[in-house]
Amino acid sequence: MTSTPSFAAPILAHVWQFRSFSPATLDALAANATRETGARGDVVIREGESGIDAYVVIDGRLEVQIAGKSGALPIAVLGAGDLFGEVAIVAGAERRTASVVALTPVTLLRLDGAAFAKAIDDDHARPELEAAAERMAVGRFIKSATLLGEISPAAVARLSERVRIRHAAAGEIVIRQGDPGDECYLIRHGELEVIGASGDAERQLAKLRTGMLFGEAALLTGAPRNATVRVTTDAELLVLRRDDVLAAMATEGALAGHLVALMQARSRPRRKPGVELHDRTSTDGTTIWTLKDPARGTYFRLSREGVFVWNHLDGAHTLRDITMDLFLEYKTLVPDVVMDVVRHLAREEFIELERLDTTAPLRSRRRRFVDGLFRTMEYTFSLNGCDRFFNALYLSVGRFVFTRTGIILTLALAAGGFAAFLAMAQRSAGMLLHAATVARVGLVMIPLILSAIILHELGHGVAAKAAGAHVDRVGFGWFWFRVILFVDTSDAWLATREQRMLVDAGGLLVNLVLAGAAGYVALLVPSLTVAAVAWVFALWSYVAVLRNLNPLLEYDGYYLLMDALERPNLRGKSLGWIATGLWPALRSGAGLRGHRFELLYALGVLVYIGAISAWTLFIYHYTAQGWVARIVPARDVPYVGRLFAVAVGSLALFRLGNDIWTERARVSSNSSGII
Amino acid sequence: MSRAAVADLVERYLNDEAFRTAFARDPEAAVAAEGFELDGEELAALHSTVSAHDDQPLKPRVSKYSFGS
Repeated sequence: MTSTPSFAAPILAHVWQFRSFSPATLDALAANATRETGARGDVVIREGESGIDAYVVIDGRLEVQIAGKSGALPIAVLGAGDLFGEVAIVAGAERRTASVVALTPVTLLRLDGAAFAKAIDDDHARPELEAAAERMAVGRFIKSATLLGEISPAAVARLSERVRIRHAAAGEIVIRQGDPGDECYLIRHGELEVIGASGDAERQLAKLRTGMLFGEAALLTGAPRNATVRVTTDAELLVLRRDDVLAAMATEGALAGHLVALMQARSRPRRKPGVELHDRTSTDGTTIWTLKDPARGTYFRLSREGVFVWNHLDGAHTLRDITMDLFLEYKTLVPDVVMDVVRHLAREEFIELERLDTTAPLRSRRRRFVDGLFRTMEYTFSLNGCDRFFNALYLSVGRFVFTRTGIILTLALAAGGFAAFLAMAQRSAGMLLHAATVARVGLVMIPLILSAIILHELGHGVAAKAAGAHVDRVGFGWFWFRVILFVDTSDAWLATREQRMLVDAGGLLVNLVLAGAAGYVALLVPSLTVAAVAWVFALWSYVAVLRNLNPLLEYDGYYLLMDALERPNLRGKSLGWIATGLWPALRSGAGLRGHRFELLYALGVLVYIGAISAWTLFIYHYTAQGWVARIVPARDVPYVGRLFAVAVGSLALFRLGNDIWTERARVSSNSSGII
Repeated sequence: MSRAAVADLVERYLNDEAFRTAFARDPEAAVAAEGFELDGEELAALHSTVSAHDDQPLKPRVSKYSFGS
């Protein structure tokens, strides 16, 4: 410690709080100042301890901290020229109200408390310093007692400078339903109530206490106030202006999230018009409810509690009302579940809920980028309005096939054809050894295979009609780097398990019948070439059936497995459980009880995708070399080929990672995110 | 049942981010830490198992046939 009064005077002259001090006062302060140094991590003053000396930062950075429930909360960062420690003198506090910790090596000017107190009184600087102390107190409150606690010290300081303090007496209306609103309020002291008015009737929607924020909905959406807020016990409010809050949100992502989550938690969601609620009884006798939005062709599975929530989303009930009603009806106290159900319904656009327009561009840009990447792996061109066609097809053919008798006869025919196929195997293999036969077989196989693929899809569609489902969309595109034809049978979500399995198997049934018919042709037609074509086509069909039964990609076998087990979204849920549930289950000792299937399935998918990716890398390496050989110098061809292969493999793995991440976000959601 | 205590708890849950996080980790501990006095039946309601955790959007069922198959 070194006494440096002559050194101190020019430093004090640059402290903005001292700008009204006379030279004589500054000299007096300097005469009682000492220069101190500190190392990084040193605590210069400690919250709760006594002390009245103040400090000016000469060099270095320090952090002002207050004690929080889970450790120190930073509320400000100080640099050269900043004053601290003055609150004890200005506010007359006996104890330090915050700690100040060195973030770097620091050099400080320590001002004697008694001399400082005399100086501010001599030069009438107390009001200005009191205002600064009040701002510090506001910042401390914002940081420690409100949902804004996670924002940065700089943002806290900015908000502290911009807030206006409003005192409101009991009975006073702070905001009125229907009025425009460009301010929100933090309750520093007191209690208020939120009142919703409908016609002449008024209803208390919520009670608000110290630390809570209100008025955010109109501020964020620009809509009129959706409720009235009245003071119930005298209150002190911190008034935040829209521009200041939006400016803070622009730099503080967490703040935007908290405010929107708060707004939505207090909202009164409304069911989207036109959405239908369907129910059916599962194989174990429980009722399963499914929402259907006919306009978009989307579906949502609901549980008993989910249906209860759905039925209360009338634009009048708040989430609080619904949680309380659910508690009284079913004796279950699950605010988290109610919030999650509403959040998921809003995210899938089955309900109307207030949203923050300012977050939309950011989200859509990110979404557009990911969607663009995935379009290289999966993209479809659709033809809509096909239900009438499938209906006609069902009435003319399908209604005879998709009956118990029809299916038994079809399978018998297919089995006979398979026997014929086996019987002809040796002869056909011999025929195929002739090069001329191979050429002719190859020529006619292309239209045959194309026809089989179209008939396969028609089989799914007609089976869906047999299940009473709508089939509104067919199309083509690519899926994991392969060209596909498809038919959308999503409406089968409303059908029973057996009906859905028949829809899943409809295409395979067609392939088996075609293969069987080809087997008969190979057996009965004398022409060697025709027999060879028929036999090869049957072979291709059987292989195609086996490959379509693969449950690890979303082909027919996956849907069959999912429906047989009554586990919707089996793939995503299994991958999600690996990402979110496996480690906690192992760590807690709960083990894999009840989750063995998810684990096995997810591991199967991971191994399969890994193997496919490796194979793709290998194949594309050579394929790409062939493509690029015409446009890049010969010496670069291997490198470009490898690069292309790595890009394709990376895309596949990225897609798998996104599937896991998406499900992880859904499973691990804790009701605090933006809807 | 003291509906008031439950109403206070729900109010707090919807308005307090930190409480929501604590509630997600351990509902009973979060409720006790914040001083909500629930009776036995209310505590049981807190522990009740619900199937709504499985409420979910159903992915489109697209029966597809790959030319590579």
